[in-house]
Amino acid sequence: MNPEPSIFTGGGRLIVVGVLAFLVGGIALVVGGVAHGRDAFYAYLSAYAWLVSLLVGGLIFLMIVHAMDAKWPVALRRVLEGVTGVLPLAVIGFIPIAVSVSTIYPWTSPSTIPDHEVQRLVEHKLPYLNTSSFFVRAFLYFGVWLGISYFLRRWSLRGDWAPAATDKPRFRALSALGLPPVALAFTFAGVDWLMSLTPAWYSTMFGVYWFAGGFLGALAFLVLATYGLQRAGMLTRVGSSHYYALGRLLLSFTIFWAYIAFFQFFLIWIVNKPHEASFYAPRMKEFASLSILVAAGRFVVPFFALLPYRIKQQPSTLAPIAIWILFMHWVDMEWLVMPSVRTRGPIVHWLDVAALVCVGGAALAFGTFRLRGRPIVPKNDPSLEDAFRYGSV
Amino acid sequence: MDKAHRHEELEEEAAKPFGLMGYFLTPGELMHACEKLKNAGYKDFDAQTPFPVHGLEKAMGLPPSKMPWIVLACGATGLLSAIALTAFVSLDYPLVISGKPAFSYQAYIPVMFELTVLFSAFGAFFGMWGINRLPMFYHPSMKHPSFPRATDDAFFVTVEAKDPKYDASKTRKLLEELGAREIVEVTE
Repeated sequence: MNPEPSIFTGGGRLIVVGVLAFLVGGIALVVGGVAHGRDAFYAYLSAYAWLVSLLVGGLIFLMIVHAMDAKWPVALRRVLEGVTGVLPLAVIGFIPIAVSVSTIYPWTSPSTIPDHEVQRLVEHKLPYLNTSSFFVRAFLYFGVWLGISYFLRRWSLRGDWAPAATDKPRFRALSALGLPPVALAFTFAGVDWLMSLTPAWYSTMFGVYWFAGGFLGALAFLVLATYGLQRAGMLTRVGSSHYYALGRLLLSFTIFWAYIAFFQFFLIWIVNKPHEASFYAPRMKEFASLSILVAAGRFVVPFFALLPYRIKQQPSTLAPIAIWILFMHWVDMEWLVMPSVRTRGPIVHWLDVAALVCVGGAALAFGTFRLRGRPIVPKNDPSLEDAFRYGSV
Repeated sequence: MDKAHRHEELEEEAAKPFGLMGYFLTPGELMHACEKLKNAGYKDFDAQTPFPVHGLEKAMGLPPSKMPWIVLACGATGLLSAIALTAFVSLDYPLVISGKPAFSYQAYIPVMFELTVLFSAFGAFFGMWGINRLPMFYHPSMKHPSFPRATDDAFFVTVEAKDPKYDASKTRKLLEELGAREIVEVTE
């Protein structure tokens, strides 16, 4: 069948499915966009926020692995590099948002805001929230993410052809020094792209909230990708201990997300200042059902599902939970975007699903394509043997 | 007479064998011995090591700990009692605080969280004492003359007499085959 199982050659079907999904979703978005106008852009923004948070979440996990010189994730590192390899696509994916800035974001034309008080607040924020600085900052964010992911991937792939080259100090230095700028870029991107949908509102927790969900989603995707590769006969030496480690991370970041989400809400709710509460008001009225779904689906269900030891150990039980977490991360993005922009509902539009299919399909096809023909593990990494032998109780 | 009789009884009880003990000098040997004992069908045996040996519980074939269930039950009790407490105090004597409705559960989630954690911690702490039958001031395995070395450089294994497969001579022979040193039958 496969003469060299360590080289990733499969994935042809994934690429075909991904491209088809991209085309179907894309056509639906365009057709729906003609009929429903701005709804298509909102749908796209929510799907795009879903994808970018997964990609940067994966990048942050990869950088933590390098910075800490962690052993067990080395076995899964190439998969992570596959995730960060999709980042260039995110730059292209930003084009629809760039085109529709004035459609999506209310701060682009403060004079049309009906509430006089809000209008004054937004005018006060104009030195930061204006179209040109929005683009400059987006450019900076992509520069940071792409630059770091490019070098981490390049050095890793170079190590496959040049044995005995120890790039460890280089990996560590870039990752450790790069983590603060990557995190800052992510926080500011959250502020620019999502928080500014309610321009009078602000929350200092917002970037962390977006990160917590994205990081969780990236871990969930890592579980799925690893399981998929194993079912295709690769990564055969990855065992229950690796899944258990990923499962523990999933559980702890589920709790972390709940902590961030609740206390962001709690402080605003208890103080109850009009402009701060403006974010939660529609989410507690018209969109209350969506809020309940997010709270239950992102915390209660995965928390109890991930508690038992055996569930985390077996990929066959961990994978469904990972799919659920990835899906709920998208629902969370819907929760962030839609109540701010589509105030009169519907809670979920069919275009939202089309956007998810389009963006997800493109990312899947592109990521798989970029991973093809590469060894599926960093085969000359000195920690690889340790990583495979990793065993926990 | 009565006193002497009781004394005799005590002595008789004291002479009851607790089990066979021996020790190894490396964790590897101990691990191997535990696997062999498990495969030979022994269930009531224990290992005493100077430091935690990873994978030993697998080699010994120990069942999963009951602690998670105890902690879960205690945590659930804590959560329910916090809900009961906050609901009772805010409905029995309603106070309007910053215009919020009575029993605004949002404000009490920290209370619910704290009580869940507190009860879980109690469950973990006292559950551990209960499962390990602590406080225990004396244990028969301390009778082995070299037992102080279990905190230094010796890896002990104890096959208890209550094991149905226990047979003083056969078990001793098995331990000898496994390479255990200073095999001694300790009494209760």
